[in-house]
Amino acid sequence: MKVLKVTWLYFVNSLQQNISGPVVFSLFFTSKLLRYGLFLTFLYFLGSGIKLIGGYTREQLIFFYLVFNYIDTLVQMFFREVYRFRSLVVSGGFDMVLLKPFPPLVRCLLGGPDFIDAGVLIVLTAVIAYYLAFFIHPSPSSLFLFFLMLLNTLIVAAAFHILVIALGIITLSVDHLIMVYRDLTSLVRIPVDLFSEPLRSLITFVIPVGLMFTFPAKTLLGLLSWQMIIFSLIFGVVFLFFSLKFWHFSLRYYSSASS
Amino acid sequence: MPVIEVKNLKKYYRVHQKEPGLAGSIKSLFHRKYYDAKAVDGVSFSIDEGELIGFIGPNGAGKTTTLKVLSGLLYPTSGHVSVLGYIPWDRKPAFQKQFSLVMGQKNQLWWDLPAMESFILNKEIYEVPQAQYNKTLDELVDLLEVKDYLKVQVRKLSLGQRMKMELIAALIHSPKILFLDEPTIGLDVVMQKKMRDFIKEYNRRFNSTIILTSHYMDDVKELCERVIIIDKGKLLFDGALSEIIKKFANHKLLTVVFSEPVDEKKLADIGVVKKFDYPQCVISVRRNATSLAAAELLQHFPVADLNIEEPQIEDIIREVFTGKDLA
Amino acid sequence: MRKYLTVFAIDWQNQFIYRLNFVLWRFRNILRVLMTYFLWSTIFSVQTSVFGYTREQIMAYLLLVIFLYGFVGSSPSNDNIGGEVSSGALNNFLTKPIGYLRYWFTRDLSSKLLNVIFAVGEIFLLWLIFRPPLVFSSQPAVILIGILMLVSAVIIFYLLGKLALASVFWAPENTWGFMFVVLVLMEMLTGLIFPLDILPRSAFTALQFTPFPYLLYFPLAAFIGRLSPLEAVRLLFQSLVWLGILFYLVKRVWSAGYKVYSASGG
Repeated sequence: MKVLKVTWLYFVNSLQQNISGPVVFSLFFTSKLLRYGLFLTFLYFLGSGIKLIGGYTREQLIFFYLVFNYIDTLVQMFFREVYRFRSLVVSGGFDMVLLKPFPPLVRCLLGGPDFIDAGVLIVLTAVIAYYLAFFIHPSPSSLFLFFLMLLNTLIVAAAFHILVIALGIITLSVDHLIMVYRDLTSLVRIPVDLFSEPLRSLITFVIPVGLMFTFPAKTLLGLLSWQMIIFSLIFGVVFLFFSLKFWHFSLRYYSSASS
Repeated sequence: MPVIEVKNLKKYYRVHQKEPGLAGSIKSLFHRKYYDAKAVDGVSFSIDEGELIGFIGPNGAGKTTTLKVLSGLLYPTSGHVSVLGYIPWDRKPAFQKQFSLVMGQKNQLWWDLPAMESFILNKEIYEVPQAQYNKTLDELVDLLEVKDYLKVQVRKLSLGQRMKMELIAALIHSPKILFLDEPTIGLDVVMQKKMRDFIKEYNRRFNSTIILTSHYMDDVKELCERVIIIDKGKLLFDGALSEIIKKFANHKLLTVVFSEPVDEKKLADIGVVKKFDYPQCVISVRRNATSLAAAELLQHFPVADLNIEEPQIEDIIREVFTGKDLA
Repeated sequence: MRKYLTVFAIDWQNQFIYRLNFVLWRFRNILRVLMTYFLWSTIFSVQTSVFGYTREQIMAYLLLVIFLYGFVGSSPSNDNIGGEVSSGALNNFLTKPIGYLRYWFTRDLSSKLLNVIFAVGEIFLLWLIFRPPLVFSSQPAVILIGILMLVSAVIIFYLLGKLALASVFWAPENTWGFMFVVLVLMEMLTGLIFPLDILPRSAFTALQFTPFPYLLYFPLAAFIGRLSPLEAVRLLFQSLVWLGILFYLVKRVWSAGYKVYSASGG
């Protein structure tokens, strides 16, 4: 109860903080939309020159990209605080976090959500809804599975971010770590099937960005088998479990090595 | 019953060395040499409820490391530590609700929001009941005279005002123990004074135990009856401030005013001339030779006035740290 | 000049301290290219030419983009986001006989050198793994012009970043926002992800009136033989025009900024 209440306060404060800088808000907002728009344009023109890319139609390719951005933005919005983690540790602010009777993990993951992304998310939701209604026509059951896989993606993403901050504690000099995650995810702006083996399996199962970003879109298109759905659910839970273990290990390390 | 007990505390770090120059850089890319830095090396002390303790030592003496162990941020290499009956590094919420660590230049306030928002957040984190929160906040705001700034964005406050807000945020849960690490660093003289008054008043009013580290001897002299001195990770002294003089000052200062010019070289026979600015001269002499030196001066020199003084605590402590004996 | 050499040397050493950081940064550059590599090789698995590009040209494009982006895009001076100005550390520069913008340009160069060394290694490695067929321009003159365009590109990017950074004098809280705009445009409009001439003719022409395609695309196009000597000369000239405009702008804006800075007392 208390955790929820305090997290809520963090959300409210972040929102206030975002609103207090309207110029910065609009700069980020427009450049993010611009980035999506430009890549969409690229895919559109690519699709106009070629009929099928790796067995996907242009509409499907664009849909994959939209869902990718939707998930990417959702994850970034919630876990934005992770991007500030390094400066928190380096400045010693992390000490203050550890001293408080509030779970440090929750504070470091969810303590500073980004409401600029929330704005982007609204735009993306509208575009995807439009796209679904006119091009994809999903059945209710595949819609349900989509949300199930989306939830699973959030679990895997949480595990991923926990891993990143835990590693951040152990190797203080790393500030690119979260950006490596971002670049890994940007590999799957296009469907994983376009990659050749063994890279394809690698980014689907080992570095599970494929699982996170393309499985939900695949369920909507009806392209994912039920075995894969079960597998990814189990994967999510196991991954989360291990990253939590690693987080506790890293905290112990911090307490014995930092100065 | 002491609230803090430390027995034979040790904390070693592994540090890596780099040789200077490009070759060293490349070498350290592949192979790093490590050695143990002994930040704290066998320190013991105990502190009772309501004490206000000054914790002093030069940079890198181990002050901050000790405070971090006491507040549970660091695991010690060895030794026994108990604070309010808890082992700090278990980081139990029940323990965390009873103390606060304030570090001079670290901030926990939300930069773009009024300080009030951070207080409310801390209230929820520390689960302070509404009535108690209102009462504590009113008292602190009153003591620190910041009523007018509560609704101003933190980024727009002056350093002094911000430091006061940091204090309120750190004290909103009425901690029994307060660790203050360089609380006056960077503040101007007037603000330093106000901060000291506040610390003193807070200690008196709430009977809270306070440990304070500071570079400024004024802080310690004015606030603390008892001081703990550490250097290179070892405890040098633990006791009343006035005891420092007895223990370490093996010399006294003779301040002489001459009626006629004298030969400075001859004064060297009496003791170490620390300052010669005719007609005034300050000479440092061994404690047990004070009266002999005074007699000698009066006999052989044209003395208009003579004063025998204890040396300044700052000077003694500086001498202790540099290992120099100036008498 | 000597002092900037020393800055260069010290920064060079400094980079080795954050070794893991650097390795990861290089790793990221490869990742960026991998996605497009696979996208294009899928496309070329069913046809031999797309938008007038042969497979060989695209592959050379993608490998060279790693190299060029490491060279043009690595710019630690942009990471600081005006922290030195808002924290008052700029005073250190204003009171010393060393120019702030030159100091940082020197540090950028040091970082670029390290990046280029690693980029060459990476390209070689990737070439070993994928063995893509490559093709380069057969005219040495065009390659030479490409190199000149590259030098111009480095300076243009530096000036663009500093132009965004100058906002710190007036609105420090917005600096990161302006920088982000520059970085997004750098990613999308310079040819980092796709060759710009697959865009419709009108859009491609319009882009020439922005500084962005001169950063990566045009030097690259010169190297892989997509430009005739005449075109290359014209584009080099346009690139230099942009350099001049930006140089003038940065000079004006920064000297105005210094005035604001000293008026407020840092």
